[in-house]
Amino acid sequence: MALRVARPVNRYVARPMSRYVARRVLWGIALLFLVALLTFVFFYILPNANGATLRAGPRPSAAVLAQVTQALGLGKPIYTQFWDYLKGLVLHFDLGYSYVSGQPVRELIFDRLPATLSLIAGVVVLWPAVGIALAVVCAARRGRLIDRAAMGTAIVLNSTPAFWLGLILLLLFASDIGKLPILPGASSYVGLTVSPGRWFTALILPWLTLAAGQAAISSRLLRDNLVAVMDSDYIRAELASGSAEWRVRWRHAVRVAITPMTAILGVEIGGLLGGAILVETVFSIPGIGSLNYQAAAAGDLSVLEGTVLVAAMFVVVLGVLADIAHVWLDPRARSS
Amino acid sequence: MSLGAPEMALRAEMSGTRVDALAGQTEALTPRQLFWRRFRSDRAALVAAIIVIALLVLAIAAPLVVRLLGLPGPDVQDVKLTGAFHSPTGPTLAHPFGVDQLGRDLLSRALYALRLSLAVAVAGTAVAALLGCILGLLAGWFGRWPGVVISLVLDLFQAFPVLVLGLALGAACGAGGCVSGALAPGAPVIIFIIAISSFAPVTRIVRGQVLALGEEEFVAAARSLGASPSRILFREIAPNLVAPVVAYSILLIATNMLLGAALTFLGVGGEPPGSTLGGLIAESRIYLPAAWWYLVLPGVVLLLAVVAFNVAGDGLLRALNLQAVRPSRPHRGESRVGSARSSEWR
Repeated sequence: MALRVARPVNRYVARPMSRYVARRVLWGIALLFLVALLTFVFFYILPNANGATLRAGPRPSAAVLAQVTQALGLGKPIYTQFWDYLKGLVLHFDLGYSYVSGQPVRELIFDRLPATLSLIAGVVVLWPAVGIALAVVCAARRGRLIDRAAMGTAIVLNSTPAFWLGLILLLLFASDIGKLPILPGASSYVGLTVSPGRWFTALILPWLTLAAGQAAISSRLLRDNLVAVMDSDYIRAELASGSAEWRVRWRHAVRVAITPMTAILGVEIGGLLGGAILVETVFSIPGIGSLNYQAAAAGDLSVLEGTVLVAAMFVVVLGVLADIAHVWLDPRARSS
Repeated sequence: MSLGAPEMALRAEMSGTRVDALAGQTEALTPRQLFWRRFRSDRAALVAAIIVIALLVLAIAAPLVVRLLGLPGPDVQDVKLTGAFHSPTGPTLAHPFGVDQLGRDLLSRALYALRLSLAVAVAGTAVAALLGCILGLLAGWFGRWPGVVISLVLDLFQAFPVLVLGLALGAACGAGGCVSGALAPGAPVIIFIIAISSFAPVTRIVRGQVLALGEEEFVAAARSLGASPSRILFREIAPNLVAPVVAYSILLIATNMLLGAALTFLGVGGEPPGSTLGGLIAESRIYLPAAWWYLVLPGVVLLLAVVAFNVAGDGLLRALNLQAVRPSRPHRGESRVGSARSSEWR
């Protein structure tokens, strides 16, 4: 009689992904609702001055104030106001009007979206490319000079304030104030459709500024993960079976080591949005970040409320997507 | 004392410390000795720890240091020292960091700024750590529902990009304070922003530790001896949380110095009574490129401090063998403690 070998039971296959996805999406929707609620409450409670005094201009008369209060619906009870707010948001993506210019906040944000997306797109290309390459090299040469030098540099870059790094880069390379004037400096951004060449060169320094810190953090984490993975039994088995080391490293180890990092993508994207404020301010790029900065300087709370809400929604949606990507890559995570 | 000798030996073994292959000697090490032995062998962390202590001393004793160096105070103006059209002048022997547009000594200003930056970061981190410990204990100890509610709160707070929210809060509270004056403009607003941005990772770590420690044998032993839940929580579990929370807080101080600098660079919190390092860097912008030292030197002080806290914190976690500490929801959280630093504000 032939020896019967029990088939290994894969504990994780039993759980379908659909249930997990449904749960994450529901969680995301609940979060979006709470994000809207918290934003509303923050901006309702926190400011000393109410929206009407901000909107009505300097030293308004009581009648004007009452009229503005009426027009903005600020006299109604708070739960009615929140309901109106939510309805406008869901149905028309209505974010209100700027207290300063009177323009719709939605328009202000959409006008400035291309610049911010240009900035972020470049970083999203540079960041993983540099981060992964560096991590793989360092993990392969663990403990050698290049590993120690690169990881030391990564710690320093990881600790460097982005705004300071941006200013230093301007001081070094900007065509107007740089010691080695090879690249366009601040205020040189033009739209992609206006001139692709100038768009690209103007964004090189901002991209480097924002990507440096991101790549530094990711490469440190990925290197440590890779070192741990390369020590694991199944990688040793693969190596013992005669596969080329570079192949094992890229095909098996990197894939496993990078998976846990997808889980923090949502937070990282939030980090990019924050970094965009600093970089856009330093390089005078007309994006959402500089809109934010100007609104804060002018005390334009309705614009700030809109940008806070949009940024947080962005983070929640991307966080849910990152979670789903994560369990797709690593089925073990579905069980929890 | 919650660690028995066999437990210690096991920990030493797991941590891979080589103690001359003498098992007996390993057992004789207390956790503190083990920690010290490992920390001492990590030269980078040791140097960083010394720098951290030196910076703290410099910050606390800033007035004394300024006087010992023979520098004028940070607010002493002397227009005679400025250049043409009141421009800042570069480093000299008498003023190693140069002089600003009002003739104030920049080294003296940088020392006071370091003091304020450190104070704000440490205070914000302390509030976050306290809040994180309370929430983490609640979530880890009281099972399901508090856990779900708290993770919803954490996800909610992590959804708001800190700098975006910080700018908004700063604008809302910058003029006359918020919440009927409880959040005054200046340092309190920044401390508040720091605290709400960093309590979430502390909560995750504490909850993860509480859940993990709850399954350890010494807790089972205490339970079988009839210890009350509160005794187990406060006498068995809580003492084991001190080391990870302290080590992680040191990393958080690094992050929060950067956050505080970014916020003051953007002008959040109105005019603080003194300048922070971020504020100094913001001031230097209009004097570029001529007064490059105005930008570079305060930035280097900030960078040195952040690097020192980062390296020292990493070293502490390694020496405590805590790199593997995972937040309680591994698929949502971070792959290891150090990674909970996110890059929001760089």
